[in-house]
Amino acid sequence: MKSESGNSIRAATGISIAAAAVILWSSLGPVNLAAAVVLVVAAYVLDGWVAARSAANVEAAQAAAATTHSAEIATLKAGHQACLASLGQDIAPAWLRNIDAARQQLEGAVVHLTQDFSGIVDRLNEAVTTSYRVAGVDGNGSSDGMQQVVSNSERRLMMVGQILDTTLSEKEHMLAESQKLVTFTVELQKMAADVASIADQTNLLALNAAIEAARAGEAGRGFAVVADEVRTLSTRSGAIGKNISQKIDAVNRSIKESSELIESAATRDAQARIDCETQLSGVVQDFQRAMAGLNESSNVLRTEGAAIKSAVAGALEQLQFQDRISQLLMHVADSVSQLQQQLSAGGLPDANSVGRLVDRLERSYTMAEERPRGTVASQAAVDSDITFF
Amino acid sequence: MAKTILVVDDSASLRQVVSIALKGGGYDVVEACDGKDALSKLTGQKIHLIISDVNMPNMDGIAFVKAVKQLPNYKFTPIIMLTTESQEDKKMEGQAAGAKAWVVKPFKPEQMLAAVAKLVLP
Repeated sequence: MKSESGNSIRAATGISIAAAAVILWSSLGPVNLAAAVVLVVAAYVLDGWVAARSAANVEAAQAAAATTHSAEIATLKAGHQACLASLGQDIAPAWLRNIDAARQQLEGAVVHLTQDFSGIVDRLNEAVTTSYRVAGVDGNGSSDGMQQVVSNSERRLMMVGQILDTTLSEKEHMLAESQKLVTFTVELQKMAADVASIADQTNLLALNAAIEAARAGEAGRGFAVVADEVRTLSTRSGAIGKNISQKIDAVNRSIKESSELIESAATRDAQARIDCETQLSGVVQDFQRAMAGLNESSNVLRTEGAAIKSAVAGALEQLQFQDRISQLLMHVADSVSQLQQQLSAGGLPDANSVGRLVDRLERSYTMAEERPRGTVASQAAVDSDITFF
Repeated sequence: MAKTILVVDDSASLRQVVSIALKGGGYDVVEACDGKDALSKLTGQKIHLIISDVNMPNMDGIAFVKAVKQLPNYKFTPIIMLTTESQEDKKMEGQAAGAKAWVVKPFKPEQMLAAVAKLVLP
């Protein structure tokens, strides 16, 4: 190629010289023209020699360059092979170790997370159950619940009120009986007065009898003794009647005082009953408020518990992605391992061997997201897909 | 008395997730890490339902299902396949082996419980 190029240049040079000779013929004359022709021919010959020499030099240089290039290619190839061998012996095992470590660490972390979530759910269930058991509103007929305690307390407190009512009623009955006694004492007083009156009349009668006995003289002496005895008896009867009257007055005063005391006590008891009822109602209302608060607290706990359980269920669903990621990493690790085996076997990987690697990797895919986008419809990995046979 | 479910998966975390979901539904759970381990767990106790992964070392899920169907005591025990595989040909393979349902991970716990309640032996 280089020689052909040199000949062309020389041909062009000859044509140029001929053209120049024609021009010089017309201007210099034949002698000068002959000298010029000699010079031109000499120049042309010299040019041919120089061109031939240059072509030889170029060919030698090209041969040397080819040798150098081959040596460089051989060096590069050896370096490339060493690099691939290093890839197989050093880097690929490191990749595999790291992938495995990532899988192990991910699995361990997710196991712990799952255990923690499970513990949260268990403790939450226990808290909600305990709360409802304490509140006694779990609908299981629990007798030790707060609701039951409040109900029992209210019933017992109402019984205290009933006892007070009974006591008050008895006092009112006692008061009524006392007031009846006052009526009896009035009658007794009248009877005592009658006794006194009879005693006075008997005394007067005995006095008259004694007078008549004195008139009768000796014959009336015995009757005078009887009249005197009757008089004595009437005097004693009068004294007894007076005494009875005094006693009745004393009894009457006592009854009156007792009645006043009973009436006063009954009034206080009635007020105490009202106060007691107010206090008991207050206590029951306090209990019921506390109960309502407890129920509200339990309901909030149940609602929040349900929300937390729902969130944990969602978290458990999300944690399953660890399994998917683990499988992805395993497929990558398998492929790296196969590449490592190929590199260890020696030789450069060619298009066929790379194609086989890709093919085996694609055949190991189980999930839609492993495949290149566009090759399959992108599966919504978050949707549970259940098929019944 | 609570029904017992055998959960077979080589992923400890996945077994745990399934166990939590099932225990939340009132079931007892027995775990196995692969098909061989699962076969050993079938003796000595009554299993009312099996949930198995497909891709596992030692014995994969499809081989395990076929082996279970050869056991007289477990011939009619319902089996749910729980896997990342969503390809129709794989599902057909599971159906042919004797599985009753195919659940693609990740599953929703309530949907899994609904599937178990539908299939579990009385």
